[in-house]
Amino acid sequence: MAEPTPSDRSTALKAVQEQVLEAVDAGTTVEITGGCTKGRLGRRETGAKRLDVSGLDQLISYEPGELVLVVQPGMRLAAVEELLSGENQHLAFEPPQWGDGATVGGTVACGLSGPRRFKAGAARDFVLGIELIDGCGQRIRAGGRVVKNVTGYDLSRALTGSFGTLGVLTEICLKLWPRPETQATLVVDGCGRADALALMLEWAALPLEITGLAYLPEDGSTSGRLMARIEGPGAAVAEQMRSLAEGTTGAASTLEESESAHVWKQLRELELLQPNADEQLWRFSLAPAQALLLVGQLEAHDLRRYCLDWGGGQVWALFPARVPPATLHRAALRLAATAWRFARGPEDANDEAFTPLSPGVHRLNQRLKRAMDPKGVFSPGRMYRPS
Amino acid sequence: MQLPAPRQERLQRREELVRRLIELLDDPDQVIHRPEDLVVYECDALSAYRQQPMAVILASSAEQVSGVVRLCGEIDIPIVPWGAGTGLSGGALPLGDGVVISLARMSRILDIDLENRAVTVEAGVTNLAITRAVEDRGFYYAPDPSSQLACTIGGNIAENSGGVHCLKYGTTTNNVLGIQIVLSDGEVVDLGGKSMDQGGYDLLALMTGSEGLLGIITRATVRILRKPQSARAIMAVFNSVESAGQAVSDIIASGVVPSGMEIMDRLAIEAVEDFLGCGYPRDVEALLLVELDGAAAEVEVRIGTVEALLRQAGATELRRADTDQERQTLWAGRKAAFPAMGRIAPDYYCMDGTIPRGRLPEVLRYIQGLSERFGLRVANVFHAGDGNLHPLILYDSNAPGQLEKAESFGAEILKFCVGVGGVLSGEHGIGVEKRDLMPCMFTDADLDTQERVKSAFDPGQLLNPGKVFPLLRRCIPGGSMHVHAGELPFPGLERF
Repeated sequence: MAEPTPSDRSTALKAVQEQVLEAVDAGTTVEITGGCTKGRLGRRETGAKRLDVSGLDQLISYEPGELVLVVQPGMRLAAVEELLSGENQHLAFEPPQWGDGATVGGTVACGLSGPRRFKAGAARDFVLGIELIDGCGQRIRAGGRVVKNVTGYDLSRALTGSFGTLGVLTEICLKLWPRPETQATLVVDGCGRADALALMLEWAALPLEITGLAYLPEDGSTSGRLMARIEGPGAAVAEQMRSLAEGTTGAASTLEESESAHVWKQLRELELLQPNADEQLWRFSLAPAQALLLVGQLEAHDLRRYCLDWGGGQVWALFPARVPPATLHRAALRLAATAWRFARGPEDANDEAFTPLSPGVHRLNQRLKRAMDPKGVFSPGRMYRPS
Repeated sequence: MQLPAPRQERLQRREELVRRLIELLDDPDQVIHRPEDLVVYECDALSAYRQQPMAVILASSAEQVSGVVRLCGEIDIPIVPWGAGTGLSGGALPLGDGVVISLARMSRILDIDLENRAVTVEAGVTNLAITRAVEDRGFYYAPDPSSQLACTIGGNIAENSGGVHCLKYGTTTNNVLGIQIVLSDGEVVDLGGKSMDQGGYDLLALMTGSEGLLGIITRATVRILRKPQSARAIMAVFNSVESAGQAVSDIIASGVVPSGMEIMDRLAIEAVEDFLGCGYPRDVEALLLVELDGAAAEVEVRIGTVEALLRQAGATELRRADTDQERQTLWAGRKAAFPAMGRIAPDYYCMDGTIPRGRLPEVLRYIQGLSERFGLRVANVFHAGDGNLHPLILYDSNAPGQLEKAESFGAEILKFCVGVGGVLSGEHGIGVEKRDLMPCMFTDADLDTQERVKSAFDPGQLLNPGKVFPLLRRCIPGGSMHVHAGELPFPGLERF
């Protein structure tokens, strides 16, 4: 297959730009899609036309020595990971895929980060620059291709996690990181939740290369399990594992390389907490030390199962489908947490999916939206119900 | 470089303004308005540009800031937020028909939360004071701009300040969890908090590095880190700056991320050695300082890798610092580079561009060529790990035409940085200094979008007008950090 030329790229880009301009002229709305693996997030618009950017899937440049990658948004996450692993590099924010078609654009648009986030930073910390088509149909650029940059407003990060409501990403520059040589996970079984959280808070602050901290509570078949991942050169990992294990009293064991990689992939891909047909999946983000206060409150609302990630800073939870979202958002707000409800299907796509913002922050969000997308072309109701 | 011309109708309101400010605040000492008292506030650390504001407010709470902002909105007076005035790009340069709101009195540490690894402070707390507040418990705040002894966290956030450890630890934007801001209509809003995400758009990122144009930061919650178990440094001597640059790329490509990598060229090394006598080798072309930190076991492994790579890249001599004291000694010369320049030339002019690391040799050759073309010497010190250059152009402001030559030289460097895929500013901000170079990097459409964001937050254009955006959209040279006879605007501060 021939390599696409810059002119092919510009043809594909022009087609996307034309669709935006058509919507601007017609006063209609568009919903940007790529690999269609993140549809459970946010609200769904009825009547929005699909703007498929999966065809914008080219690698623009990869310079391993610069730790910088530039791609079009439709490039598959799996293809990127494979490319990078050839140079012993990776996306340190460990983005989840949640399906085979996952793209870089969708990952950045949803601002998704995996278990390493509490140590390495979030998706937004790795986005150095973007090109986009704004709501006026103009192609614009923000940020750059370097780590240190104070040149204009940081729209690159502001668009990360904006769920396609501020513009169409057409090019994304990401900071890369060397892939750690090895990994291992210390597992402590039979760990009660209070002990587990206390240990996670303590370990998260240790000057060690701990890059994963999660807790799976007792659940019929398993007793409570605390997991801590350490990454780096083999000798250094072994040494740190020893020092960590010394500080634990429960039944500690070690998962080596591939087993360790497997368990964190399971957590990242939500395989450890899959909802049944009558259940809804939620994700809460909060100050790590508050994790069990939140869990306690959620238990009053029929919490079925949960697990803690990010050293307590992220709580995944399952509830019966009948629990109204507003109830759980209120529980989140009481602890200054923010929550995402994953849609089960079209029947609940209209519910409030994200925890409502304070009135002041909501107004600022609306102002930014109007600045970037004055006519409201891009999925106006994807994040919050339009007021 | 022009600032918006002071408007007569605003200047005529000076008495009313001062009277109402005094009414508004509890204590008349919080309003500075006599010309002799305003002298202190006529410039920030970009002292080539000076202008006295009509008044300076020493605010002591977000409510006061809000009250002043509302008053200024009512009588149409522009506002310049002010932290410590250590900025190098003129971001806090006052406006002749405006007020300065100083946050310096808001210097309380409000909350130290070790469990959540977060510290909440008022905006006027200095960068270093955050580390001082938690270091006895083994923690620190990572971004370390060279002015950290004096600069405030509010100013750091407004300028997205960097330091020498950005490759590994990021800049300010990667280390702030939440802020409180006063908007242009006086509303006080909290963004983020102690969690790792915020709801809605990432307004925290938008505010960080917005140079006081979108809101006034009154409080911040920052992430703190545990001090690394181990920190070690190596100094390597090279026969050319190019091979030092190559070593930097080799180290990164090998999978090691040092906490700091700094290069100095021959002129900088000689000047430092004359100034400090810190034991750097003389008669060499380049020095590369590499610092590694982290878990002791990991640093132990990595330092061997780095040594081997430095040798392979052609280092003619290696010096390894195994103790903290030896490490400080290696750093001492690098940290003295700016003051040392004051000894070898009457004036110098400091630039701040960032480039992709791999373009370093090419950019240095270009700078050397410009040096010959303009007939001015240039010393190079740079944060090589993150590609942030600080070329120091040496000149004599008493020699006719040299200042203009130095400015043209500087502008040419920055344009070349943009040309190779870099940016105009790595850590000093655009301010007024590089404002008129923005069109070299951004199209009209790019700048239109940014200005729409500005208008969305500040429809009356009262927050720090005249900064960041060019008044005319042509690519013309601006000023920069000029230092005469070694007289730095803040002589007590390190500059690196």
